[in-house]
Amino acid sequence: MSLSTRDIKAMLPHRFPMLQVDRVTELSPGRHIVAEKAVTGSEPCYAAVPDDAPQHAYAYPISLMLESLGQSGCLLWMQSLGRAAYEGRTALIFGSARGLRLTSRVLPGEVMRHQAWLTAVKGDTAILRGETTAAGRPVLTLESMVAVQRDVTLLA
Amino acid sequence: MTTMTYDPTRLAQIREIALDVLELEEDELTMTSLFQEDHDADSLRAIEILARIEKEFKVEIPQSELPRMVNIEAVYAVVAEHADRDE
Amino acid sequence: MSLIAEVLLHGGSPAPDVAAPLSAVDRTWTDPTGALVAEKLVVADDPYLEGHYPDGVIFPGVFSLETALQATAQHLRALRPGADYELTTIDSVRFTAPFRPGDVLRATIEVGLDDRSGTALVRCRCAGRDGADRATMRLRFTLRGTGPVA
Repeated sequence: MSLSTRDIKAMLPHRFPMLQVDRVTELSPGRHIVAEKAVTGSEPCYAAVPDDAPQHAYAYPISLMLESLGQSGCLLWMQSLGRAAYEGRTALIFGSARGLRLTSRVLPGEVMRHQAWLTAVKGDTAILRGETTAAGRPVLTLESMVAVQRDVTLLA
Repeated sequence: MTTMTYDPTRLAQIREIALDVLELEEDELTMTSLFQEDHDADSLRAIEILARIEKEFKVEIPQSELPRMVNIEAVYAVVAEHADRDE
Repeated sequence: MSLIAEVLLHGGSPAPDVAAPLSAVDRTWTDPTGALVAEKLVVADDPYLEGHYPDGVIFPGVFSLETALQATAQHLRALRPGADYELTTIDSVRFTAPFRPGDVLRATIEVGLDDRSGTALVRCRCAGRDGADRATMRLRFTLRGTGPVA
C-alpha cells in the first residue's frame, strides 16, 4: 500500500516545515515501510548558507534526516496499530536511537528514500531499524530506534 | 537457594544483548551489576533488552517480568523459566 | 547577564555557515574541567517550530542534537584550528524529556581527540535549568576526506 501527503497529515501532527515525509511508496503493516522526502534548496535550513560556501555546506542537516527517518518509522507503527487518523490523545515520541552510521550526505535536488522495519512491539513501545539512500547511494544505516506512545495530556 | 547451572551459550547471548543495549565494555557488566543503578539504564533500555531477548530466544516474556529483570543473573533466570517452559 | 537578557539584547548567535534548521547555540564557555558548555534559549518563533506542533510548540528532540552538533563544530574548530571534522557515527542518542519555549537548554560537551586517527569522540548531555538531563548523545567525528562519508 502507499500513503499520500494527505494520508500522512491525517496520521502525524507535524506540519510545515517540520513534516519531513513527502510520501510513502510501500507499506507492509507491522513489517516494513518505504518513505521519501525530497530535499530542495528553497527550504528554511538553507536560508543562511553564505554564497561562497563549499558544496558540503549544503548537506541536508543530520538532525532533519534523523527526524525524517523517525517520522517514517512512526508512520509504519501507526499504520500497524490501525490508527488511520491521529486522534490527538496520544503522541508517538522518539525515545532513542543507536548505531547511526553515515556514509554519504544528501544535497538539494535529491530525494531521501527511507526504509524502516518494525523489529518488535512491546506494549506502548516500538523498536525499529532503518536505512536511508539517495539516488541509489547509501546515506545512513540505523541499528535501532525506539519510539513510545505517550499521553499528550500529560505533556502539557 | 538453588544453585543455577548456566548454559554458557545462552549466557553469552544474553550478555551480548545487554552489552549492546547498555553500551558497555565486557568487563563493566557482571552477573549482578544492576542495569538501572549501576549502568544508568532507563525503562526504554529495559524494554529494548526484553524485546531483543524475546527475538533471540524465540520466547514471549510478558512486560510484567520487567521489574524482575534487574541484572544478568535475573534475566538469565527469567529466560530459563520462559524458554524451558515452552519446550 | 542572564541568557535571556543577552539573547534579547544581541539577538542570539549568528546562524552557522552550513545548512542548519536553526541557530541552536546562543553562547558558549569552557567549564573548569575543559568541557564546552553551550546554551540555547528555546523560543517559539525559531524556524521549523511552527510545525512542531501547531497546537503547542515543543522543541524537537533532534534539535537538541543540532545544538550538540553546532557546539561541537565550534569546539573542534577551537581545539584544532584549520581541521575540518565531519560526523560519521551517532553511537547513541536518547531523548528523555522535552524542552519548551522559555527553557534554557544547556549542553555540556566532552571531546576526546585521537590525532593519530583523526577522530573525535564526543559525549554531550543536554539539561534544563534544574540540571536534570533531557537528552544525551555519543558521537564520532573524523577529519573530512579520511572517513567513510562520501
